[in-house]
Amino acid sequence: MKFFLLLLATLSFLFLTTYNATAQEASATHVGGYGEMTYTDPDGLTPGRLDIPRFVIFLSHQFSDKWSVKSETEIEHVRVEPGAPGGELEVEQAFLDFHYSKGFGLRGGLILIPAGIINQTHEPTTFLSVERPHVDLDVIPSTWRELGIGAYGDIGEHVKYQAEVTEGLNAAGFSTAGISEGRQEGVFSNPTSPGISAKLDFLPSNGLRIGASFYYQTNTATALSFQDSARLGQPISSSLVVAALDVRYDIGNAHLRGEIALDNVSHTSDLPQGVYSHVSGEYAEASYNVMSLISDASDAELLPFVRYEVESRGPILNPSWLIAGAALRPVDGVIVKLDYEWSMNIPTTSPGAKTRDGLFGFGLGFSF
Amino acid sequence: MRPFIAALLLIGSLTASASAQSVPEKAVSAMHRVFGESSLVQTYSLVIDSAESADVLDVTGETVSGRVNIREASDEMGTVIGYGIVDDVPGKEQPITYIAMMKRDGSIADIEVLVYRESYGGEVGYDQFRSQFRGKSNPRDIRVGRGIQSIAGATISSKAITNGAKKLLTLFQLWRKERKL
Repeated sequence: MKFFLLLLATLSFLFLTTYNATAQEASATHVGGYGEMTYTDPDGLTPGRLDIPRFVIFLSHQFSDKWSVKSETEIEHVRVEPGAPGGELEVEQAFLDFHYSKGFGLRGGLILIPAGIINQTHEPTTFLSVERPHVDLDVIPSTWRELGIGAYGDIGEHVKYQAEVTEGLNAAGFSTAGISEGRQEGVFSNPTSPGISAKLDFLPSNGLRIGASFYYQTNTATALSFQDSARLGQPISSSLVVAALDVRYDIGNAHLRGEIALDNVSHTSDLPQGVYSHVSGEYAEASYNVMSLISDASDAELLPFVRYEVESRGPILNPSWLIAGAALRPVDGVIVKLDYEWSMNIPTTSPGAKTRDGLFGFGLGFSF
Repeated sequence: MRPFIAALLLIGSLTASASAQSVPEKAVSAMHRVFGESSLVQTYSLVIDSAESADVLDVTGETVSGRVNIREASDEMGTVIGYGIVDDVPGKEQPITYIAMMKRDGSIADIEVLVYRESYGGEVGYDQFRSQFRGKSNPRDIRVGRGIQSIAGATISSKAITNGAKKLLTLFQLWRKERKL
């Protein structure tokens, strides 16, 4: 009932605020997309692997200056064929957007949770390594999207806000590998215990952006109950906090970015499977556009980079990674990547752990 | 819950009367802000011939041909104070409509985003980004990483507006040559 009232109020609000508005420009449908092709070769016994991890089509339509619909449809790992190896065909985002003013907008549908750097900005042309940072996969379950509604806008000219209420994660999918398999992603999902998320971005100067994000869910275990004879059938309750801080700093041709993220799951001993109560990770990355030193006329970018990542997962040693490589952006929207990753303290016995010592990567990416 | 609904309805009814401006109206408002509320704005056409088109391509890497509308702001005495050109550049998913306003001396007076349609971004409208363009008179000085600092986390729109401003300043210089300003 509460949800219905909220929906009614929101719709009334939208109707009233748009009553006098007139469409200013001709309607426009936009098609775009992004994709990446990768070759990864772990050191040791296993052979290398060629893949198209993601191929995505954007489709958006502008009904008026204020109303639009936006969508991203993704094919992971080239093809989807029942019974055959391959990937997934999925809607990654699909939402109605009401952009009322600089200070206030609403979006409703399958939306991205505002958390960290990569989750909302994940086109392969925006990050330099062949693979996304570990922290943005293991701690923040990118690409993390759920059904719900959210508000966004600017507060003055230095602060941006986002706040969302979405379906929550389902602890049945949690494991020692993390919370990512708990995402419901809008598939016949259970809205009983919604997730509340918010992000603030501070922009003290053009080149500097500092983000702080927070996600809270009262109970991720609404679909679970105790199975032991003493408490058989009794409900389990386990809350979840996902918090992150991120920084992006561009100084001329030098670029720095870093992130700290953590997951906190309560009452993990009540959950039937092994789940770590506290998982955290951080990384720092530096790159420099050396093309600015080579040619003054060229708009191409050549960015050697180095990134260090470390995670803390349950009782195991802190796994860490050092990634060094270079990315070339010959024109806007195209990227060619080459990198090497050294892994340290990766326990081979832990479920979900990666067993490689080193990983060579080559990638081609585009976005338009 | 009830106060929240009441507040939403109240905000809704208060803002319902705020009527939206069209792009030409927004362009005139921007020019009034920069060149004075009492300035008179008239629109002229600049016809780009093939030689001029090649010049623009050389400086900006973009092809412009046909007619470009140039808005001219003059004071009550009829003296021209400045000019404005409206343009669209591609954003991440939707075009960004903006205006570049130039002084008679050939320098940029200001730029302003007239319509931003996306839910992410929009920082190109912030004064700290726009102020970098003011006073620039050589289009070759308008480049991300060299003269213009892009916005962290909003590189696509920063580059789009920077390349757009470079193009409009180049076009304005053709107009100055044609008008012998």
